[in-house]
Amino acid sequence: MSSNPTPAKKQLLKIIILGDSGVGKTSLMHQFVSKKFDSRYKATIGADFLTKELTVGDQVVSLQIWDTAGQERFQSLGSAFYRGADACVLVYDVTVQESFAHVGSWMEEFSIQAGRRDSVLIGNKTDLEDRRQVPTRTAQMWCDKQNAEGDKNDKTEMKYFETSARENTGVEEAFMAVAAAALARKASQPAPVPPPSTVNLNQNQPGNAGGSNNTNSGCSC
Amino acid sequence: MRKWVFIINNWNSTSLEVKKKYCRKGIPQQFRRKVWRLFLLGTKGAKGKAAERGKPYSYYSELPLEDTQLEGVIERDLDRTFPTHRKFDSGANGEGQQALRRMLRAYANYNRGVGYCQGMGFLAATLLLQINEEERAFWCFCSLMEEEEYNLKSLYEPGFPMLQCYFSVFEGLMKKTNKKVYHHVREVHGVESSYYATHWFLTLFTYYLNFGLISRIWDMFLCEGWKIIFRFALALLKIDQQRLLGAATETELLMVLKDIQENKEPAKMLDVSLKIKFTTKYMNKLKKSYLDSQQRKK
Repeated sequence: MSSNPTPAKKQLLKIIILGDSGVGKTSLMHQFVSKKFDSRYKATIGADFLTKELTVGDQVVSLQIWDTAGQERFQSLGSAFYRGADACVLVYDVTVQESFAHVGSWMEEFSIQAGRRDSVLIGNKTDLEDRRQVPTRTAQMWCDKQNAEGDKNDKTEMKYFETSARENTGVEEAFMAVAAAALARKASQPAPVPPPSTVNLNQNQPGNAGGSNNTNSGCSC
Repeated sequence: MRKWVFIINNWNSTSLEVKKKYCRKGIPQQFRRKVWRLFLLGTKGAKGKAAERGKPYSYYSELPLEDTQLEGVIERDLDRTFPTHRKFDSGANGEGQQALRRMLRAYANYNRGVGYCQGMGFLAATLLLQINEEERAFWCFCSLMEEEEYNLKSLYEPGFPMLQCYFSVFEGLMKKTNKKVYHHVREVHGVESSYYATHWFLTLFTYYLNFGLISRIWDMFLCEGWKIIFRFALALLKIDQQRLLGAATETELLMVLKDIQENKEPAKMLDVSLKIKFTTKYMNKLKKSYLDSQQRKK
């Protein structure tokens, strides 16, 4: 399979994390990137970002992860951050029903700004199981419904993950799944078409990684 | 020292020029609380402000919030505002967080159009730390939000109208005072100031910088207004100019910008920021041209 004469160039992927305030977006990002948890993060104002290099199949990927402020008002600043995003991670807190109820509007906002892209849904804070308000099945059904309603020609599939950023469970799987999905899409559409505006991603085209990126590490819970 | 006693005792008759000269040198810590209050409340103090604004602090702080969603947003932010500071780290029922909760709720009631927005907590907490008395700190916060020369409310209103304007002014000033960095950051890599400067403007640098430096910046900001904030924002880019220009990709550039406010020597920051030259007239021109262009869009 990996008969590429030249090693594939590094692929840049931009992932954006969305969801209500306090659901754990910043914690998830830090857990995934630096493998640490701190219960004393400041509230995110505007946006923040971290990068991580990883290998998906034999493709080296430079992941640019954008963490955003959760208060709805910040959506009006969002367009700049959403622009050029390859995928999105939607997060809610399994102990806060309301945060799950808002997932749909976050997704809609993202689709309007960035176009239809791959996304995963994360139910975070499973370490607080005794305070859970959203059953796993409810969230899974919501994803199934999104997938059923999607464009038949568009193989976008939303996967559901449950995580605990505090205990580092499920975090790696969720981010790897979104990276793999975004990468697969990029490989199948060699010319990325961001929404009209300045093209600012300094990207290198992959040396066509062929079928090498089908390492679908997702779990379907 | 004696000069400051004189200025404080003759506040209304001291010229802005004199205040400016001494504020730039830094207000001695033992006078800072008093001087900040004079800037924000005037010589009539908190009582005078409360009378001017109609109702007492307790009225606004005890009133239930009209927008019940804000309740949760405020609660979730209390222990995420200076989470490592002694005054705020003892949980939701600690003294600091309780005072902060009341101040934020009071302002949300005072100005329902602005309500509460993430970031405001850092301003309120900074004043609570410096003014050290809740009711006075609240009226100071209220002045910071409402008074013409500071007008933070216009940044926080839904849609962030003035924040957007200040991004545009800042980029205009960057272009004028540091063409190389402007070209590299804005034109080559397309990195907009909203990516990295949002918390600089919304929290007046309190989100990242240490209190020693914040105090010096605020001494001047309270006296001179927004020009100071732009100067410091430009100084951050200026000091790390080589690292910025050396960033070859957007990702590298973002990583430099991400922690550009860290480990800054206060003396160096002050020195560089005050050497950056642009006129108030030019700054106002940039502001006007942005606002006019928005007007035309409507």
